[in-house]
Amino acid sequence: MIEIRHLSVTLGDKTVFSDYSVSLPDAGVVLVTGESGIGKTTLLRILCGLIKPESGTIEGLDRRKISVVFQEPRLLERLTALENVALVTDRASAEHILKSLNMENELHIKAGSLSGGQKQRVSLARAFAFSKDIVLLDEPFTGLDEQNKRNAAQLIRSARLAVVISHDPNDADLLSIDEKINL
Amino acid sequence: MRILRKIVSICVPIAVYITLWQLLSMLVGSRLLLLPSPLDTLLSMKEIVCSASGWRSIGMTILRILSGYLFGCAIGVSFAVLTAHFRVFDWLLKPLRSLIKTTPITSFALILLVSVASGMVPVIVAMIVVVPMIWQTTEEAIKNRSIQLSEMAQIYLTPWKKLCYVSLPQILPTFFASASTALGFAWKAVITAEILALPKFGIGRQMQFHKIHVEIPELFAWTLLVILLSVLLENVIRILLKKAGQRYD
Repeated sequence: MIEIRHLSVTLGDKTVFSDYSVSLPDAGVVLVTGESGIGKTTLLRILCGLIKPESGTIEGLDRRKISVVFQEPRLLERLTALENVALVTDRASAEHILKSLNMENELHIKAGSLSGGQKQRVSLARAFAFSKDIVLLDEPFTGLDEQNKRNAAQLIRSARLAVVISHDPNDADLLSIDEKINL
Repeated sequence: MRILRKIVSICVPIAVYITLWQLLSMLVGSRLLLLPSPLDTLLSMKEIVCSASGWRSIGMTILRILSGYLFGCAIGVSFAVLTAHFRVFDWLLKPLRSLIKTTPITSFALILLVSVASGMVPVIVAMIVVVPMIWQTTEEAIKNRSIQLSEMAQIYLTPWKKLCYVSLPQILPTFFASASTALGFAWKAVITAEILALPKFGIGRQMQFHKIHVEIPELFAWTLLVILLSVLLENVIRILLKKAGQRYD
């Protein structure tokens, strides 16, 4: 179990979490929902260490490799799709994972020239090429059509623990979630 | 056709200015004292480039420029890294930058002359001119890096890969632009410092010598040489910087 206890976070003037506690399972797909601005993305950023909480503890993350799919693809635009993924793994694995997301024709296209949906798939590929232990995903289906959504959902299911933020209620069925956290 | 147009666009303005120069020298400079003709200047230039002492002066000046410039770039980048990342260095070093930027280079040269060998004064002055330019622009480039990409790199990349793939490609274009501009300023600073410090060999010393002896064609010839060498060196450095930058494209 990943135990988040007595978490307090203030960003600027806004208190995002005050003495907040929650448990996440060790494995499975967890969907995090809630109103806009309630702190879903902040929770993800705390889990991956990009935000340090003022107080509180997180247990169960030691020695576990975390990868993140951000709301924006955050690719290196002058590198190709394949090079972006190959930065975190070997070339063969990068190629394999990109092909599993229907990117076989765009492997050697610079990220800056890809469409929004294609960039999102490269971002997903990079995350899963880096680690399948814990994958944190912030709106991972943005810009994807139905077929690519299904492929992405299949990939997400392959993670040991996937924590997914989504606004779309249909995503719960698509991902066959194991747990839902409503902030 | 494009090459021809480019040649014409360069040669025609030069020809216009040389003609104007010739006309002016005929009007006001019947004696060489006031304004030598382009031909007199060219003849003096030929004498300079055919003499060993001429080349020694040119070589020493270029050596001083390159030394001051390279040291200045290294110090400027180091200060930029420190002030961009550590507040304490920002507080400590920012007043120094303001001081350097506002103090005239002649003041620096005269102060340095008291305690430093005359040959070293131009090197230090060039460094003093280059440091704040490189420092300020590089610091701004470091501070303006994409936060989103830095966060991505924090999750996925080793520090070395982060530097090569994320940080340097964002910083280098700004650095190269300011490094190119700084070279021109280093030229001017070194010549000025040489005129004041009068080292054993140097273009500035030669210019001062010909000024004292009212040898105006020689003075014009050295000035023309400075312009030509400056353009040449700037282009060489620009090509080198461009080649270095291509590694990160």
